[in-house]
Amino acid sequence: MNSMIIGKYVPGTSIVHRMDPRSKLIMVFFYVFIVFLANNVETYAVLMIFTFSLILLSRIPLSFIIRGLKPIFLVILFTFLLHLFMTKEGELLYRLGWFEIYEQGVKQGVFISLRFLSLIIVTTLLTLTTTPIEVTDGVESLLSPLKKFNMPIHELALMMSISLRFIPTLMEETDKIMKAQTARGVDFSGGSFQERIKAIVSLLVPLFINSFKRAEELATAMEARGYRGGEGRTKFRLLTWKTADTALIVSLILLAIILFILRS
Amino acid sequence: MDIVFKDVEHRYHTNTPFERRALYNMNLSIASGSYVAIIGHTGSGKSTLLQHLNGLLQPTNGTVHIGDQIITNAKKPKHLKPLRKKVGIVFQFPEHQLFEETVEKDICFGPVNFGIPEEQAKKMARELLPLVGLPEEVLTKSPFELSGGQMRRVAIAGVLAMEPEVIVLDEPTAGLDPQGRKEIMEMFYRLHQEKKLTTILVTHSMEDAAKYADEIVVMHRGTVVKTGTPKEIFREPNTLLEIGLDVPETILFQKKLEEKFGVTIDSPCLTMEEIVEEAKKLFAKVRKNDE
Amino acid sequence: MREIAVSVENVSFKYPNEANYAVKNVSFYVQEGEWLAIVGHNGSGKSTIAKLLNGLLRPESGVIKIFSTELNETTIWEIRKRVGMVFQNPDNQFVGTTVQDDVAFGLENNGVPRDEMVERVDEAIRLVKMEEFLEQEPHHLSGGQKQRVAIAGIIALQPDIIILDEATSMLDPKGRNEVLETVRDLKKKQKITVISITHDLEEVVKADRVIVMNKGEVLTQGTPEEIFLLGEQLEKIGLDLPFTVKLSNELKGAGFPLTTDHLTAEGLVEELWTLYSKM
Repeated sequence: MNSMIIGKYVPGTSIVHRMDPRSKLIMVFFYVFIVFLANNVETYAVLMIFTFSLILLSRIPLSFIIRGLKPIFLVILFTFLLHLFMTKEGELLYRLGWFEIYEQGVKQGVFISLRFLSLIIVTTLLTLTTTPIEVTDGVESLLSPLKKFNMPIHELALMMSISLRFIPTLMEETDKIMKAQTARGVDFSGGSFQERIKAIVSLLVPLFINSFKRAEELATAMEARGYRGGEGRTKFRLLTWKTADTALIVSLILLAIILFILRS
Repeated sequence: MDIVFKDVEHRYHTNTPFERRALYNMNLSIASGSYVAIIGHTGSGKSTLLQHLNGLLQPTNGTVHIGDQIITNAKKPKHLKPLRKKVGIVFQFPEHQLFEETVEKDICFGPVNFGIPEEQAKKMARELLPLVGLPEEVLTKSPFELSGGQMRRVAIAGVLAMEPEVIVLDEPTAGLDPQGRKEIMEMFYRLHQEKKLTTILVTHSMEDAAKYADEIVVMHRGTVVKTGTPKEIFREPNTLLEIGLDVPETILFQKKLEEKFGVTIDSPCLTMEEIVEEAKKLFAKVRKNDE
Repeated sequence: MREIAVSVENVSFKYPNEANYAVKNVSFYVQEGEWLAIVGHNGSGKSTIAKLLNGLLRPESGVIKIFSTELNETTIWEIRKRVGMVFQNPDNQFVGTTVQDDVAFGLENNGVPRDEMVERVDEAIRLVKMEEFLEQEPHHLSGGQKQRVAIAGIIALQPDIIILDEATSMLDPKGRNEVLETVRDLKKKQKITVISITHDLEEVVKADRVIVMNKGEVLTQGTPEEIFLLGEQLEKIGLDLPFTVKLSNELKGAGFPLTTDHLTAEGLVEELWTLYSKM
């Protein structure tokens, strides 16, 4: 579990790290659609070049990403095999009894796997190079036009950022309570079904009650510091759109055009 | 149950970039029936140490003997339950571990987990209430209706109900008012004396350490820097002051008195009575000289 | 003449669903620049007073004035800017994801323009000596450091009054010293009024004036010296006496003709020396 990198942030100062979270979010959003433009060797080659250029620019070691995506490879392998065996088109390449592999099967398998892989890498790259709070700021800023329609965008963003801030606190607390209950004879790793339920209750109830208490105190502290909703609020965190961000979006458009031209 | 730490080392997150050595070169022995205070800064390794006392953590090196149980890094020790029954730990802010619908159920939770019949556990809960200073009516109440101080007493009763032979207290009075602090400390001292309960107190209060402990263990940056009786530890207050720990106010006062009067008092004063005695002696000397 | 920073006149408050008043007909005042300690056992109503002073709770009756502005619906937000509060639990008042975000929170709420905000955040963080931790996340900070950040968040709003609501009670001795040192330092540099709600004796001894609360009422008020003269009466309501006061009493009991209960070890040693020299 520890090597899993989806959702993790790796501190750095690369050009990708320094990009505006908004440009990265826009990129990921449209990339998901653009990927589907690829449908032959050339287009997939272009797609992979684009993806790996991004990795290079982020200066995150490829080996680190590969290691971190290990659990995903199983899923990819499974989709690959599925397509390999299920597609019965094109030239027959190999036969062993009822077991047949066709040319299209190999192609489809490889393509789908690459599509999947590049999607995972690009989204992972977003979280690897952007702190969760930057993602939150980016989302808030991109969705802010919706405020006109009375959507509680500021509140949602605040909720997200407070959750982010409290995750480590809650993890620590979970650990503490587990230890306290273990010392009182609870076995969190084994026991009958009934014992397991009891163990979980002995962990969750205090955790919930403490969290409610925290929430209440936090709300009081926020009120004491003059919080009264998003209206008239200024922001300390500043998002700045730089040349690199424009470049990213332009290259994304170029990618789409090239794929569109090269696709069969 | 004697407790012996031999060359114990503990590292968190071994083989990761976050590896951190929390304890090293720990040698310590705690005799059955004694009252030991462990003092040191936050981050000196006190809480890592106490989690070794009932196998919540295993040493990454060295051995921990608790009675006849030996804990090493060799393998995940099994059958820790009997050990955990014998070593009760009152964690910091123990009221955060309460979860049952009633106080009675919560007190019985530990004992029942350790196989004590429910009826017996209930009887014990009832007997423990006056000891921890709670009225019997609270038994049927939800622990969450009680005040913070009362909740802490319920949690403490829940640990005592396991009838441990060793009790480990991690700053049991943190956040309480002076009256509550005094009551809780006195209660544990009474238990220690009456039931011969081996007591291990982790504390920031030098006054409590000096007042109650037979022996004090000073921890600094992950290891033991000094052990001894309170008198031995506070005889040279400078060692403690150098590592940024406090010393009891009686000792500080004694130092000031010695400086002003230009004398040295042989025995460190740990109580006000001792200071009064020493002051009397000082004044008596003058009288003698006058005569 | 110094101004009156806070005046509380005949204020009563009762929590919903509770029979007894948490605060009953309480009156007191605080002068500008003063350090006032409010002491009392748990449940004596002292924390309720803190929450009444910046409008987190509304009194059932009575009047609260902050620099002659009456606290009510229309003035509440203005008053919250002038009355900063540091609460007990360091974790549950840390709103931002990093130190500087948290310090900025109050400024954001009050619509301070960003350029000014950056300056004020920097300055406040420097005042509490946390500049090395600008980007640090709260779970990497000690309790004392988190409380210092909380103080910075309040200073950034340039308040007239800081209320410490048992702000040191969950800290270790080192953290406690850090926080008290920070507030003392601040008081030297700025004209600020401090109200500390506490049962830490050090905080009480160093205060200019002390109010003792018991069962929702003001039991007595005065200088620390005057308060600790009450001796047993304080112990009876669950409060502690400073070590030197207790020792003075012990010495008197043993026949030393001390003239007063000393609040400092220096004072006590000095008087003993005087007695000694006279013999």
